[in-house]
Amino acid sequence: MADEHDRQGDDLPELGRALRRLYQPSADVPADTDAAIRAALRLGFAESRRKRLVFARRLAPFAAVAAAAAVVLLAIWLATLGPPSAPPQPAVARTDPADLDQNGTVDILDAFHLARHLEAGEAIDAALDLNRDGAIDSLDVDRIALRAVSLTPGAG
Amino acid sequence: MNKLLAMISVLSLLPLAGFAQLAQPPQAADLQYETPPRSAFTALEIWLETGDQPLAAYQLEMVATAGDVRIVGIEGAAPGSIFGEPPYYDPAAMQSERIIIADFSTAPPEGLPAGRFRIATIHLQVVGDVEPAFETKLTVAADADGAPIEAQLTTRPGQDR
Repeated sequence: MADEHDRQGDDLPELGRALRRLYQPSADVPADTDAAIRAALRLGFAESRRKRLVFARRLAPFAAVAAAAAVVLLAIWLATLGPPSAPPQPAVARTDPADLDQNGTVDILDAFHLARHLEAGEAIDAALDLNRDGAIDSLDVDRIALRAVSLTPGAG
Repeated sequence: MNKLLAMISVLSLLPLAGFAQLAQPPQAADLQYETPPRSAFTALEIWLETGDQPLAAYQLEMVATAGDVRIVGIEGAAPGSIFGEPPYYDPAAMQSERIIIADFSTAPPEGLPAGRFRIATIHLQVVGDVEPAFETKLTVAADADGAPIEAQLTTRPGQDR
């Protein structure tokens, strides 16, 4: 294969010479022209660098303000995130059976309502057997009332 | 021999001398007992004003905000009245400076108290010379249907009995 390639090169000597001429560095550039070109290039690069520095200096205050604003915005965003969210609760939250009026607080009115239901002989939710003695009676009313006046939150 | 007897006599009298020293009455300088802080018993009457609305249920909180105050007893309204029995309270409130009291009645509206009446009396022990002060908050006042009613709570010093 290599032999065949060499043979082809021998077959086209003019083309080979032309290609070598094309890619060979030209040696006939005068030295002063070369130096002038280099000086011009150096001047161009220096000018470009100076312009970049001037631009950077002019931009610096704006960049500082932008960075400060970004920090403030980040802080605000983090503050609005709040604490990590609580683990998801079951879709149906279990309500407190002692909170009869379901206002979120066990108070004397819950005991009052149970007492009235008992006096009226109405059907009462079995969950209101708070002392688990098998009966819903005045002892359960007392239990709710004592919870209402408890000084320890969540007691009872 | 006589010398020996004399020495024995002296030695036998030494313990007696010690007892005699112990039997001396204490000097006034030794008696430095700390004077206990002044303590007095008082009472705080809790009054409600409900206008013409009969009161069936109430709940209130009282806390001492000044002075060394200890709750020592709870009394209901006038004996024999609807709320004459002591109200519900947390036994842990005894000897503390904060209490929540509450009570209700299922009596018909015509038997319930209305207007201005004493609902309870809290008996207190005040230790020290600081004048006690209290804060009270009425959290529940309801009629015979359990509906909230307008009521004003006031206190006044009571007579400790």
